[in-house]
Amino acid sequence: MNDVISVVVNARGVLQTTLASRICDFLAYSARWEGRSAVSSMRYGDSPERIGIPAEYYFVSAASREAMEEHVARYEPGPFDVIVVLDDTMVKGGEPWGHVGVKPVNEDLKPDGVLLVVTERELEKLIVFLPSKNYKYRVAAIPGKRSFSGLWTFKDDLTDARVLGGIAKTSPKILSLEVLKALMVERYPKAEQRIEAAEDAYRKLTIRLVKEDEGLEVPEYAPWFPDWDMIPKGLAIPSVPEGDRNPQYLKYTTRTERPVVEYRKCTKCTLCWLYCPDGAFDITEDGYFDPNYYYCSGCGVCVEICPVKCIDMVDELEFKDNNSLYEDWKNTVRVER
Amino acid sequence: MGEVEVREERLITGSEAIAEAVRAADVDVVAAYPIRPYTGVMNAIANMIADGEFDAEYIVADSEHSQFEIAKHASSVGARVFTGSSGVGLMYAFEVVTVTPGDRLPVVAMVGNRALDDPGAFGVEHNDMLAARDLGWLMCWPESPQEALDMTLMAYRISEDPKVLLPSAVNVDGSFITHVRHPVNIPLRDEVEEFLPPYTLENRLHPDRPLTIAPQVDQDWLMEIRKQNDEAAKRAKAVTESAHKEFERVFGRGGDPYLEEYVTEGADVALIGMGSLATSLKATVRKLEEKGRKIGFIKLKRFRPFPTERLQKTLSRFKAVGVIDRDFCYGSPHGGGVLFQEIRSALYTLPERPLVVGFTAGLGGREVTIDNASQMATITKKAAETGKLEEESYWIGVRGL
Repeated sequence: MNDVISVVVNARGVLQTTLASRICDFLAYSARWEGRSAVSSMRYGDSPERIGIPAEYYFVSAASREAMEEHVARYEPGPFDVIVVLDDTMVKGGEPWGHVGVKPVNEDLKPDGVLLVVTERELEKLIVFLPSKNYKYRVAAIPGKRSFSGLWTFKDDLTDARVLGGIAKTSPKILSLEVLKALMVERYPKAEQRIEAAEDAYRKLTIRLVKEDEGLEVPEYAPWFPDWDMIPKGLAIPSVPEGDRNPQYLKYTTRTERPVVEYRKCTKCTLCWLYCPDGAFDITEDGYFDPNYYYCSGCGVCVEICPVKCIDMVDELEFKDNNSLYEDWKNTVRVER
Repeated sequence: MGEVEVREERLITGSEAIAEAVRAADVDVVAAYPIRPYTGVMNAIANMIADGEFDAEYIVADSEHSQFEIAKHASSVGARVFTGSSGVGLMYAFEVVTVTPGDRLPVVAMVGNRALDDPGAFGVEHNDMLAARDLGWLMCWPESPQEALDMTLMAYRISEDPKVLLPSAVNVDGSFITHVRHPVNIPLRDEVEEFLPPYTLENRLHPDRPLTIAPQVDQDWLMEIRKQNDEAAKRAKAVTESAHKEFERVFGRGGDPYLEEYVTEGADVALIGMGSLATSLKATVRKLEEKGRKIGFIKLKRFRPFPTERLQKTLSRFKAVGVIDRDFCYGSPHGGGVLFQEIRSALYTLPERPLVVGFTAGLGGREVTIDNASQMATITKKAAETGKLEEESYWIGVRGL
């Protein structure tokens, strides 16, 4: 019998890694409480230590140490019973697959598993961004704001307790409300408010079954893994030509908000284009600067630098794709004429 | 015109001999930073350039790390380069020493072997370059200034071969080779051009064709790249052998690519070692032969590529073999030095293998005396006679032992 339980927490690098670790550590302690073997681990790599880049944190447990062993020395211990998404804009895509694209956030969900999102939005507004699966699964919303901490600090706004309460509601076999409460009393000096937060999330959680094949087309995943003798010597590969961008290195899942330019106000001063650390601005034929939303990481430097305040950051979930907004504006102008 | 050029013989040190090879090879970029005992080569090259005898970019770095970086980068644009160091200087450059084979660049370096600190000593030990044993550098250990010159020319040819493209270290023992003047036969320009024509690095950096070299990869790529480098290191064997043949054809010397046997015929035991100690060992085995004791000596000229098959074939002729290491390998399985570990390992698959005993000798530049050599010969001979080893390895010439 395969009773291994795996949970992944999708968290934004640096801003949410402490939060994610608290959730996975608590799950591991709860598994130990019930006599199971368990580990908690951060995805090894760059993403967790880069601000805003989607990263993964894992919890794995099994009935015994022996049953656990084959699941320990792995980078990605899926498939998952629960996928937690700490920032709802990550429903557009989770951890970047290195040099090969963007990973759907529901990629490794087990059939009948649950995708648990911390959000202030309606569940239906999130589901439209999820790629389809060929099996049924559940999506649940834990009402709450995005919880972002700083580089050196942890903002303890009880989001971890709320997520754990959500897991207790959707997946009581992983964490029952009783164990949650008992363990919080044991682990935290002021357990009451944590338990209250967990119970609040437990009560207010909304849940919806996603049908087979419901959702967006699954993005293409075609990594290039050449045989050893096909790799150029010294890994000397042609650079991306000047003016072009690396098609395998898209940055948009780092974004929670995107810069939107109000072209009527723009004076074409070039500062946004000059200061953009990702070189994400395309120059239009009539001399405007058009953020390319596949490459923009949403840092907001352009908003800060714009002398006429013609750029605003807008929540990423307000947009269904990465298409140019300049084209839309230009078409509107044409129609007006 | 019409005059036949005759090779000149000059009394020069090993460092100066390597400088002659660098000039003859028409090296484009030299990266220098001083440390004893290798520095002499950079002095000699600087003199050649100052005297208008040699045209090369001579870059003095601010440290060994920068020095090896300069050589690596110059090599990546397709320049023929030369650099070098000694002892702790090489250790300071070690990050670059590790990346250069990974970049597949045919940098050639002279390593004037020197004891590693602490405590500091100027004399020879082979541990400086042997620390890079596993990284893909090709390593040779000439015995004399003449061999140093010859092997430097060969190093360029082997490293630059598209089948190889790995850096080479020409290792010369501090003091005994770097600082002693021997008569050296200077090759003629035409001969060198025939043996070592200018080369083109296929995938070189150029402003018209920007490259990204060795970007960050993860576990899904690195192992294939490691495998590729391992294959290149293996291919160096055949390329080294053909380079020796070609050298022999053009210059009329060069001999065996890996081994030089001395008084081994009819002997049932042999000592084997690298570098300048070969000369004193030859003297010893000759003296012993005069006294009626038959002990062979084998000089190992190259450590990478490692001539496993040749050693198996050659050493299996003996009942016992003593491996002399001018290096240490603390806490190793049976004591002894690095070469001892490697030779034991090379012989392991033989159905009938000689007894192998390890000798650590001549550390920190201490002379390997004829008495030391006789002692090693006696121990090895006794092993052959009794058919067993009293000890696997010995420290030779240590006070109190």
